[in-house]
Amino acid sequence: MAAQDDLLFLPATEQAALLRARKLSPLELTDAYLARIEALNPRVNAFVTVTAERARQDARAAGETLMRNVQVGPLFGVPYAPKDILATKGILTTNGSKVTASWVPDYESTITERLARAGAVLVGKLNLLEFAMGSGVASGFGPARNPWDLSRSPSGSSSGSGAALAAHMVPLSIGTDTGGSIRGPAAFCGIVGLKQTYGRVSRHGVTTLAWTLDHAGPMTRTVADAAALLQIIAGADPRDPSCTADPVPDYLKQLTRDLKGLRVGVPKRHFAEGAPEEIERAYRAALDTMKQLGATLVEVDVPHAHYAGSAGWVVAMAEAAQFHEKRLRESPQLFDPIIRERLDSARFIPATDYIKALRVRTLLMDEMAEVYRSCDVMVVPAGTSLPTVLEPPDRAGTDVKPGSVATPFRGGNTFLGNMTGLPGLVVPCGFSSGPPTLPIALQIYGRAFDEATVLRVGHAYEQATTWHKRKPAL
Amino acid sequence: MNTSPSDRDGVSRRHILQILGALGFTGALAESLAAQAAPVVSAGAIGGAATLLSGTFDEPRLAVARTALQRNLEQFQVVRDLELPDSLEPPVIFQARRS
Repeated sequence: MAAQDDLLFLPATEQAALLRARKLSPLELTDAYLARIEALNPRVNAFVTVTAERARQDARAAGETLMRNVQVGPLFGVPYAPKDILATKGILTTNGSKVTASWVPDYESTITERLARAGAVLVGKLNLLEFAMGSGVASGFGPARNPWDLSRSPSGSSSGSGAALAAHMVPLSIGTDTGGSIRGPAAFCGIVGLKQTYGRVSRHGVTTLAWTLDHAGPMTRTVADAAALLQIIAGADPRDPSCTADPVPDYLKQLTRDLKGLRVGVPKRHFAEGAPEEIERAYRAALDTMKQLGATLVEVDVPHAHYAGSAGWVVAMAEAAQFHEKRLRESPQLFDPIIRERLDSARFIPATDYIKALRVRTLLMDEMAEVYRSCDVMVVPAGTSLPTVLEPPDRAGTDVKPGSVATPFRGGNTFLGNMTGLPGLVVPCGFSSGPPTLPIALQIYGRAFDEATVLRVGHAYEQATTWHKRKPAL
Repeated sequence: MNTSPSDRDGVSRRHILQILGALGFTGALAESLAAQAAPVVSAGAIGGAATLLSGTFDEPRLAVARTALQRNLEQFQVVRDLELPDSLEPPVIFQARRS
């Protein structure tokens, strides 16, 4: 089991290299993951569905292809599992909801279609918060748990993706991100999460939460894996009108180990406000590391960044309430109470508030354009809290807790990326002193469609540190 | 010259922010402190709005929605209070802006 585990702890790109060298077969690798899923899922609850039989079939076929010495891509034969909000033809797609608990799509999402074509092996579908809505415990299939401390949240809404990657139950996943749902779980679970530019990756076949904020992107254990995964899923798709025809560069080729000539923007306010000292310290240490790698640190300012969360929440909930209006009318009892509460209240958001939030969006885009006049990337803490304890069910059923205080700026560090559409990459940058020892992460924002630079910074930083090599004790 | 409603009321939010700044409160904290009070959502008001929407809410569901809406309005009040230039348009068709 130890040797098998060592194999599972390798990055996906290294596993793929072993497969191409025929030192390992796709079936052996798939079987090893299926065994680990079977052993750990009862405790982690990351998988909603395991597609063992189909996975073995696909792995066998991949093995036969490799035996024919065919030229294959960087992740050929490697297992993956997407968040269960991507439509997979003939395979249960629940959206984490009892409302769609028995939905078997008759079509395939563009992302899973491209991954199948690239030879990736689908081993199952991952847990999430109902319809990808926020954080908490509101999954129709029980909450996924954080492998670093099973009493804690992996964040959301791509909770199963974060948990499965941290527990090494799968080497690659696809999450979705409307206000931080890739990057939050990446931060809480100590893995890598990329929300690429709006329009870079097709959302065809991904169940909508909010049309103008939704993204679907890579969740992995290393930055190189994220680069390889983005390479496969990025690019024009006529079935998604938001998807652009911008050329997709070779992301893996542009990864380097230094940051010479790069200007890293460091915001002078907002992003670290309210963060525990351990997060602030890890963030500052990461900036020092980037400086040692050759980057120049430049002070920047996003004066209205702290409005991103409040304004983003209104945009997200207003669009979500419209998307789910029919389901809410016809089967409200099937929604989790907290999700129904959010959607019901969102139906009363005045149109003028929605438009005001959109105008704030323009303001934020203006301010970020100004930021990128003086730097190439902007680095911020991924979030301002450590992984939180999962709430007991009697408290988890509502956003409005007795005695709770409304937090106007919730999620601003990540919502900024959705409000502007700019790419943001989360990578681990430390651990709390504990106990329990919990992950800390930073986020690298880049220019629109410049994921290459964002990935380059993330990779250079990752290779200069060892945070990504730590494993939770399970 | 444009006059915002809060200016007309005599105590502008900007004025409050200036005072808070002089007292050493800046950034998000000052914005929070300067936020005007959110409107209180009465049962009658939300009942009327529900009628306009569709009338499918039962009383317990409406009560939950009212509490949640109140909280959301309190959170959003800081954005409502933000004064924006008239020239700032919403991105009606959203695309990431290249720079």
